[in-house]
Amino acid sequence: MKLRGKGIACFFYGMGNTGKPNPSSAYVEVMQDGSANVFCGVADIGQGSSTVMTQIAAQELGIPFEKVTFTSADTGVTPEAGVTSACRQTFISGNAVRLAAKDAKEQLFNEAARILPAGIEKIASKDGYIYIENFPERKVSVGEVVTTLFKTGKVVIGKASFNPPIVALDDETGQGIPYAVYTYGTMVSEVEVDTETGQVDVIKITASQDAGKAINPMNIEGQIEGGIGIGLGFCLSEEIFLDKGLIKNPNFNEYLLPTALDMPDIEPIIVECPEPIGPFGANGVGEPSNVPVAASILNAIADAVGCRVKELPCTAERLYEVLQQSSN
Amino acid sequence: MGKKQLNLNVNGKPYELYVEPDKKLVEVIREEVGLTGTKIGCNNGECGACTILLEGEPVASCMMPAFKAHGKNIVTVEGLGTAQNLHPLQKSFLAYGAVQCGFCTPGMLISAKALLDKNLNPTELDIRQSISGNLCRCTGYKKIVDAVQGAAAELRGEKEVKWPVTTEDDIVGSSVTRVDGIPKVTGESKFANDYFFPNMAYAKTLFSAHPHALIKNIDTSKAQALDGVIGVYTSKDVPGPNIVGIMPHIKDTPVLAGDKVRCYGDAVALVVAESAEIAEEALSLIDVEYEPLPGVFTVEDAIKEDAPKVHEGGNLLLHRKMYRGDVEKGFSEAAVIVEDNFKTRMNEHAYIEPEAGVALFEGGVLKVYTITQGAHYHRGEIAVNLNLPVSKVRVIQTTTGGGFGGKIDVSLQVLVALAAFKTGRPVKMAYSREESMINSTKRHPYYMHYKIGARSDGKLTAVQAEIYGDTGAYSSHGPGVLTRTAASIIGPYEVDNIKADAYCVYTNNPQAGAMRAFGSPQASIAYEALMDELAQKLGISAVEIRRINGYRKGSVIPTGQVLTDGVGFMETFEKVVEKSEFNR
Amino acid sequence: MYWENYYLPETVEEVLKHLKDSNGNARIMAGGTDLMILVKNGIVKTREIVDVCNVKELNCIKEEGSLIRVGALTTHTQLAESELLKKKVKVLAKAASKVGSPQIRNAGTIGGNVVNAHSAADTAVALTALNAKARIQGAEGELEKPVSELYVEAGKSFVDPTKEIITEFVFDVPGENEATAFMRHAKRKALALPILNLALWLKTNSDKSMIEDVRIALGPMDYKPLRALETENILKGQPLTEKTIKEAQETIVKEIKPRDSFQGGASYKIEMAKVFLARAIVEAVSDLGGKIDG
Repeated sequence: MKLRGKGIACFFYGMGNTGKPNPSSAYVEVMQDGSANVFCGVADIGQGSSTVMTQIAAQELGIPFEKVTFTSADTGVTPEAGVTSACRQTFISGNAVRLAAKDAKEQLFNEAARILPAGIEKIASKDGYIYIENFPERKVSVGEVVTTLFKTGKVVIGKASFNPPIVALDDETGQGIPYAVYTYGTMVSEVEVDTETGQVDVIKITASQDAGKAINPMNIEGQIEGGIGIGLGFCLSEEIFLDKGLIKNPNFNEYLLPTALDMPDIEPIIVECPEPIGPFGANGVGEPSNVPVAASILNAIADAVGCRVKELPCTAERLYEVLQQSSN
Repeated sequence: MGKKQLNLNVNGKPYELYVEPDKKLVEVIREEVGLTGTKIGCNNGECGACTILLEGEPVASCMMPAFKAHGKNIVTVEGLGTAQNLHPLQKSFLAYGAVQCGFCTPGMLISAKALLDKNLNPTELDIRQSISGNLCRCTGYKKIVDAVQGAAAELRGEKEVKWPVTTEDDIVGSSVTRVDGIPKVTGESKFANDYFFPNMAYAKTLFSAHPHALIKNIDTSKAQALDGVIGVYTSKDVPGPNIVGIMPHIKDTPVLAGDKVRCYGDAVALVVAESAEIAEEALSLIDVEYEPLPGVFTVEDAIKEDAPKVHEGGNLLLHRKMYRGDVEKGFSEAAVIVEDNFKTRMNEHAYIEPEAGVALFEGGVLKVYTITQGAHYHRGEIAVNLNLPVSKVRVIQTTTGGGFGGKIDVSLQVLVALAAFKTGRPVKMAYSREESMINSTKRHPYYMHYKIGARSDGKLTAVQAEIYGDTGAYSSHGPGVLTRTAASIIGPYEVDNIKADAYCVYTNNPQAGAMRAFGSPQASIAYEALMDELAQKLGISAVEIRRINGYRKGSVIPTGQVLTDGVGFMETFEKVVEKSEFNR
Repeated sequence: MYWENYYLPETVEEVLKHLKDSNGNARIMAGGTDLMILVKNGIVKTREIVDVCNVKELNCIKEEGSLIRVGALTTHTQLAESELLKKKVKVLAKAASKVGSPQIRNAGTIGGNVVNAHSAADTAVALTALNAKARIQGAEGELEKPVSELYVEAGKSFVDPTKEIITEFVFDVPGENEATAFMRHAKRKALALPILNLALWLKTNSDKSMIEDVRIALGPMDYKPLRALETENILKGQPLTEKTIKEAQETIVKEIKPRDSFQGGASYKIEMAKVFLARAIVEAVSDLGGKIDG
C-alpha cells in the first residue's frame, strides 16, 4: 500500500561563531575610470559569496556591477575574513565590504560635494555617477572624481573591518548573546510511503527562509535547494558505517548521497524581514535549509503511517522494521 | 613498459599521443591533451565528474583505459562552447543558477548534452534519468533540471535563454549571474588538482593502520631507497609544534602523528616522489611498529570512568550547560509531558571535489594553492608548523568544489607545504575519494534524550535535554557544534524553563567537525517529533502548537537573548503553511 | 602499473589468437566498468588486456525464428533501448535499464555483466529467468552452456577470460501466454547495488487462469543468481489466485538464504523477496491481460 503524508518543521539559526569574536575585513580601491577593485579574504566554496560581495560593493559605491572586480581568499592580497562557515559571510564579510565601500564613497562624496557643489548630505551615487539627489541632472562621474583627487595626490582606498556584537556565554548557565543576528525558516515535506517495503519517496518540499534582504534571490534559492539535498540524504540514506573506528564505506558506491532521481520537487520561498545591522538588511542563508529537512520528512512519514522512526538514516529497512513492530 | 601511439579526436581536433598502455582516459585528457575541465571526483565511476562523450555517448572517463578510445571521437566540456560563444546549455546553466561550486558542472553539462542531442523534448524524468549518474552536492538538482529545460527550449527554437543576466534597477536584490560562472561552464576554472608546475613532485600520506596505538618505531629506509622517492617524512621532520586545530584553545591534532595514533585518519608519514604512483608504492614500504591500545568507539563507553583515554585530559571535551528558568516548575505546570530518545549517525560532507593542493616557493614565499574554506586560517597553521613568519606563507584558495564545513579544518595543507619546504620543489597532493573520506571531518552522530512539557492551551512550559555528540579522535569544531545545539535546543519555539546538557566526547572514531548547520539538523528531529506528539496529545494541530510558541519580536531564546528586530519566523511559517496546503 | 600491453582486435578470431599467444597472461576486457575496479583494487592482475570493444560482430540483438540472440558486447543502454526487447523480453530490457547509471550502461556489456560473476548482476538475473544459454568460444572450439551453469564461485566464472570469450546469449522468444517481469529494490534510485532483484518468466494457460510454467531468479542470494525452484514448483499448475501467490511467498521464504550485507539485513531481504515476487507475478499476469482472483 502507498500512503501519503505531510510533515512540518522549523528553524532559527544564528550567524557566525557562537559567542566568540569572528571579524572580517575588506579593502576597496576606486580607479580613475570609475571601476573598483574589492579585496576580502572570504572563500567562495560555491555558495556564491564572491558574487554577493561584488553586488554589495557595487550597490554601496553606486557604480555598475560589471565595473567591480572582487578578489577573494588569497592571503597575499586579501585581508582576513574568517572562515566560510556558520552562515557568516554575507552578514559579516558583507558588512566589512559594505563599510569599506562606504569609506571609499565618503572620500568620493567629499570631493564631489566640492565639484558639484552641494552639501554632502544631499548627494548620492548610482550607475557610476555622483549626483545631487533632488537634481539628478547635476552629476559628475565617479571616474572624474577619482581623477580629480589623484591630481591632488590622493588615491581612493576604503578599508573596514566588522565584528558582530556578541556576549560570550556563561560557562555555568549558557546565558549570553551567542549571535548578533538570526535567520528563520519553515519547511513542509510531502512523502509517499510504500508500506510493504518501507520505501519513502519525497514528493515535494516547500521551504521558506528569512533572508533579511535577498541580495541575490537566485543564489538564495540555490542554497535552500542544496541544503535540502544534504538534509534528504541525512534523513534517508547517508551513513558512515564504522567497525571499531574503521570506515567500511569510504566511497560513493556505498555512501549514498541523493541522485537527481531521489530529489523531490522543491518550492523555495524567500521572506525578507530586514535585519537592521545586516548589509542592506541581509542576514546569512547558507546552511540552515538543511536543518528541518529530516525532521519534516520524519513527521510526514509519521503522518502517513502512524508510527515513527527515531533513528537516522530512515532507510526502507529501518522504517519497515518500525512498521512491523507497530502492526504487531 | 613502452609508450604506445594513441590517436584521439578530442573536440574535433586530432591528437597523436604516445602514452603508457595502462593510462586511464581521464588522465590522458587532463595531462596529455591538457584539458582539465574533465574532473576526477571518485575514480570509481560513481560520481560522474569525469563524464565525457565517447562517440556521442556519455561515459565515465575515470573508469576507462585510454586505449579504449583509440581512433574515436571524444567531446569534453571544452568542446561545448567558449566564453565568447557559449553553448545554450552553458548559458542556461548560468542563467538558471544551476552552477554553484562548478566541480560537477562539466560532467553534468556533458550528460545533459547527450540527452539533448537525442531528445529536444525531454520530460523532467528524462532529464533526471540522464543526469542520474552525475552527483551534485550543492544544488539539490532542481536548477539543473530547469536549466536543461531552458536550453532545450532554445534549441527547439522556442525561447532564447535570457543571457547575460544583468542587474535590475538595484544591484542588491538582482539575481545576477555569478561572477565566477563563465569559467565554470567552459571548463577553464582551475581547481587545485588542475595546477601543474614544471619539475613538480607528488606527495602521498600514510594513514594509521590502527584506531588507537602507540607508535614504537617508523622505519622509512626501504621507502627512501625506492627509485623516484625524493623524501619520506615523519613527525620529527615537522619544524614547528606539529599541532593544528580550528578552535584556538583546543589545538589537539598532530600534522604527523608522533608517539600515538588516535584514529585511522591520522597521518603517520609523508612521501614525496617523482610521481603519485611511486609515492603510493613507497607508502607500502614504510614499516610502522605499532603497539595497539584499547580503543573506545561509542560515547557510552568513552564516558565510563575506566575508559581508555583518547587524550590525556580525558574523553569529555566539553559539557555545555544551557540553564534558564526552573524546569521542575515548568514541568509541574504542564498538562502534557512527552519524552523520547533519538539517534543520528555519522555523515560525510561528500563535496564532489576531493582535497588537493600544490605548494611551491616563489621569491622566498611559500605559496600554497589549495582547497579551503578559510585561507587565512590555513596560512596560520602552515606558518606555525613550519616555523615560518606568517608573511612568508601565502595561501591562495583555488576554485573549491564544495565544502559544507568539511574544508574548514586542515587536511593536507600543512603536509603539502611541508613537502615543498623539505624538498624545495613544487609538490602536489590530491586525495582520492577514499583518502578524503578517511581523513576528513564528519557530521557528529548524536544521542539525544528530550523531554518537553506544555500547558493545555499549547504553550510550552519546559524543555529538558541531554545530548551526546561523538566528536571522534579530535576536537575540530566539536565544542562549537554542541554549543550551537544547546543554544538552539528547541529551535524557534519559546520556552521559559530550560535545562540542556550537551556533551562533546572524544572516541577513536573519525573526527567529527563542522558540517552544514552545526548540530542543528540532529536536534531538530527530536524536538520537531515531540512538538507533533504534544499537539496530538493536546488535541491541537501541528500548525497551532508551532504558531503559539514560534519566535516573534520580543521572544527570549535559551541563552536569555531577547530577539528585537528582523524576526521573520512567523512570516516564513504562515507562507509555507499556506503554499503547501498543510492542514493538520 | 596495471598492465603492459593493450590490444584492440576487431574479430573474434583475432581475440582468440591474442589470448593464445599470450598464454594466460592476457585477459579480455569488455566495457571495463567492473574490471577496472578489480584491477585498481589489486583483485585482478593481468599483464595484457585484450579489449574487445571493437569486435562489432558481437554487438547485436536479433530475432531468429523462435530464438533471440544477444551479442555479448551489447551494452546495457542498447538492451534497455531495444524495441524488440522492450516489446517481447521486458525482463531483460528493464534489468539493463536499472544498471548503475547512464555512464555505466553506455560502457558496460551483457557479456561482462555475466562473466564478472556477481550474483546480483541485473542482466544475469534476467538471463537466468529466461533460461538463456551462452555460446563460448575458445581455442578448443565452441561450447553452449546455460547461463545458470557459468558460476564457479562468487566472482569467478566458468568462462576463463584469459582463454575464451562469450560470443552471444540465446534464449526462446516468449510466446503467447508468456510474460516476464523484473523487480529491483535498492537504497537509492540510481548508482546503487540492489538490496534485491528478481526476474520472472511465466506462462499461463490460454484463458490466463492458471500458471503452466514459471521461472524465478533472484539476486543477491547465493554465489550466483538463484533459481527459486521450490517456489516455481508450488506455482506450476496452480490457479492465478491470491492464495497461490501466498503459498509461493511462504515457500520462497524457506527457499532463500540471503546474507546480511551493506545493502540490507538477511531478514529484510527475505521479506522483500515475498513482496517483489508477488508484484512480479501481478505485473506479468496483468501484461498478459489476466488478473489475480481474490
